Amino acid sequence: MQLEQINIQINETVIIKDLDLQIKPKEIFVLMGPSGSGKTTLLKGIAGLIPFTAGKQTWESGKGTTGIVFQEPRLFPHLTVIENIAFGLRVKGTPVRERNNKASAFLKRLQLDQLEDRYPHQLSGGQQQRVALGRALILSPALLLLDEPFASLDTSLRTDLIDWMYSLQRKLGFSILWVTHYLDEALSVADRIGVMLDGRLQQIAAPVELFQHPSSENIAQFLSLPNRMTRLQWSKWFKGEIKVPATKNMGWIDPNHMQIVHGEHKQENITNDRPSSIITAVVTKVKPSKEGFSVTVSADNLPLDINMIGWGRIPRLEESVKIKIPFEKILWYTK
Amino acid sequence: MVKRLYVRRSVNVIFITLLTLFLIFPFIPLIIWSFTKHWPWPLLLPEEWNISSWKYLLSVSGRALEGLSNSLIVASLTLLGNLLLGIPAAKVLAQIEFIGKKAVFSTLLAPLFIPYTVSIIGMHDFAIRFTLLNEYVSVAFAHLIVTLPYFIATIWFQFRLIGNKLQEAAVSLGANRWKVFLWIEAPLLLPSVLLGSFLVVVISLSQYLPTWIMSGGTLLTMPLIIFPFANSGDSSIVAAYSLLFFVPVLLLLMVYFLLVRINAKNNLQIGGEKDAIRANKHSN
Amino acid sequence: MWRMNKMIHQLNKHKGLLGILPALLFMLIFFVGGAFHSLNISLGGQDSMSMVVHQEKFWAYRELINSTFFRSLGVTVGMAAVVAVLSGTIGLLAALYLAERSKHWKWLNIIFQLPVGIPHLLSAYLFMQVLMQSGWYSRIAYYFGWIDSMEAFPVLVHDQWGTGVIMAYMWKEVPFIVLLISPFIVKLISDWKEQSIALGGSFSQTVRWVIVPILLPIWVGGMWVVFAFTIGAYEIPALLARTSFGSIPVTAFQEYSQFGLDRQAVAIAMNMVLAVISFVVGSILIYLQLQWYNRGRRVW
Repeated sequence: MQLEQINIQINETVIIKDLDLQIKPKEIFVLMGPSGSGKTTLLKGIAGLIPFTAGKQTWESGKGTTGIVFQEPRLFPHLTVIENIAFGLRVKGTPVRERNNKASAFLKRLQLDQLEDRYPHQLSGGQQQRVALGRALILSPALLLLDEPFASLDTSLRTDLIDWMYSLQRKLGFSILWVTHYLDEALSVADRIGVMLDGRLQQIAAPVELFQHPSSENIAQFLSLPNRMTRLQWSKWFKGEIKVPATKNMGWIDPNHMQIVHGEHKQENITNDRPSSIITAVVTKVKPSKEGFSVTVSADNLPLDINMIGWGRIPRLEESVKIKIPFEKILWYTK
Repeated sequence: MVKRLYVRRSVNVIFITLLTLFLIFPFIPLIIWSFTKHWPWPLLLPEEWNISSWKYLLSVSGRALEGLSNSLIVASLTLLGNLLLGIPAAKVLAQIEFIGKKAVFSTLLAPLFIPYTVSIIGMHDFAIRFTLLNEYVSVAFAHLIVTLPYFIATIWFQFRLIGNKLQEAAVSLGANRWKVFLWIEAPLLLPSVLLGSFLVVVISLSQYLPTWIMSGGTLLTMPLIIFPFANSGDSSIVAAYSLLFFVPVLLLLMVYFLLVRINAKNNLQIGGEKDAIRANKHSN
Repeated sequence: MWRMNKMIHQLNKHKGLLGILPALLFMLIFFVGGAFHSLNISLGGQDSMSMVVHQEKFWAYRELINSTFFRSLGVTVGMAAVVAVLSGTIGLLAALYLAERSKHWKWLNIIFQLPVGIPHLLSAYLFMQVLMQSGWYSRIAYYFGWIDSMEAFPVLVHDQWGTGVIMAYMWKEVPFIVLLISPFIVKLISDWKEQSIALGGSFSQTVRWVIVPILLPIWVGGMWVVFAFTIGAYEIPALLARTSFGSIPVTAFQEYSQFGLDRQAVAIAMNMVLAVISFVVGSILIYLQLQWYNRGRRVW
């Protein structure tokens, strides 16, 4: 499906501005962005629930269909699971018997067949959301629109459903436009990720690329990339010119790649052919993590996050430490 | 397809237009009749206009003011009863779960679903045994039967919208039951109390049969004065009385809107509160 | 300690329940008690103020067992049912239309609420003025040349079919239904329209398959209120129906007010029959609703 120069205005407020987007067949495209950036509006626009003020929507196969699932399941309270699933078929005018057979078969596929005759309020939150997904999928839409579908569920249930959705999509082969604000959710399913800020798609990239080359500081900030420093600051710490293209004026480094080192390592590192630098810093915060400790230090009055693996010696607050920064692990981007 | 849509839309418009005309047309001859004595068929509008009906109405023999004041006294007493009985009952029904709640609720709403004439005949028989009961009070009792279900339902609905969360917050901050009611619930409840009171007064003003039975036909409220005229067919007089009847209703409507507006201005948060409640319900 | 807490809790719980007592006692004493007292009078028991001593206990009810009363009963119940169903249907359609359109036409809402504030007595009178053969509608018909004499206009007041009666009731009850269900319809449309459209449904499908089923308990409840009111109301048939129409509230009130204490028992008996019918209809509706819910639905 292709969107060209889409604009959406609601009551004089421009919500979506000149948006271009292509979703390929069998692709999961994850759309991320802070709340209020227009993700839901865009989804509703694509689903035909809100009119586009301007722009063009086209499909590879002439006319495509969409299905949409919201954060709340929105199951019809007076209908059973099977009646809810069959609602779309009923709208199409499929005869009762045929649509019941179809819906039953489909429920088996979703592993919901034992729930057929229950009413929505008799289901758990996860089951309700699976029925809502099934209700949209039975119409075999070319594109499924998911608006934070699992956001109101517990973490473990959420991971289960994400896996369930992912394998279902790989099996049935439709495309998904998936809105979420969870980074882990995005990373576990996305073929491509789009970041939306203020009604514009700021960057579209494969997940890995997004972290390696965020297209702007705004995106780096939205992704909460740690230890973002200016090129000037890094060159101060590396005592010299930095050999990356001049446009790359920001760099970030993962807390796992930095180390707190002790006095005796100092000499050895300078002579290493892989350049790294050692700077002095003061410990300001220590908190335990799954792997060990995550330590925040202050160097040149700038905060740096460092992960220590293992539960060895715990750094004390206000302690002065040496930090080893490997140059090659810094990822450069343009502000 | 487009043509079918067009047809359906025209059918809708015709339906709603006819219904609207059906609702407003009857008022027109009423207004005309009150300003003429002579209006022969087939004239669409009368040739001579006068206000003699209005003059008669406001004279002593017209008894209009007497009827109006009787009606208003009864309506005020009825309203008082509704406020005293209805608000606490609605609060309990909305906030507390107890055994037999459905039965209690059904009993309180029963006059809506079962004709009340028999009960009022019985009440009248009670009342003539206790002759010390004032006529106004006993008629107000009958009106209370008729109006209380509407009042309780209106207030109950608002209590349900308000929910329990704000009260819990207030209790956690140390407020006692009365403070919770006065500071939290009363302001949020005010619009629906106004609506309920408006309904109560309008319904009370309209009652014919309960008033007649309860007073033995002696307490002349507006409907009791109008009825014989309507039956006798002096169109002009009835028209004037009817319009006079609208005066308190319209005044009350204006007072109601005024109070609602003042209340909304003083408590801007109430609107926000409602939105919050709605949003809350949605997310649940 | 735990037991103590529980006791205090129980006490507080019951203290909270006190609020319902005044209203409940009022209804029990006057509505229920009044009905029983009436019943007692109508049975000709010792409470009767009647001067004539009747030997049989059920004489007033026995007197009702005749074809005239049964015909009247049929007419009264039938008319109430027609008014309830018609105003329910038209009210629903109007409420749907207003919910979709009222953003543009606020005044339409006001017009639809106008008759709610006007007594049934006046509604009867208004319709007398427009529907009579010398009424305003007949003048309009003459003005447009549809009729050329007063007699050519159809008889709609005091007529055989109670047309005027039904129209006057509709004028009051359609707005009542609209007022009752409008807030719910607005909420239901905002909750479900989008979802239904997302699944391909048209507006009329949404209305038929989603909005009306969810609204059903309230809508039917509203029609029951209209039915119960119409079956027992006096003013409109008293003014607009011919005497031979036989509306029971009218006959009963004549018995009550014109023929002395003797006939009071008959008046009560007639009204009692109406109350029982309304009660039975209501019980059937409640039973059906419970059946509906017992299958597991929960809509509100």
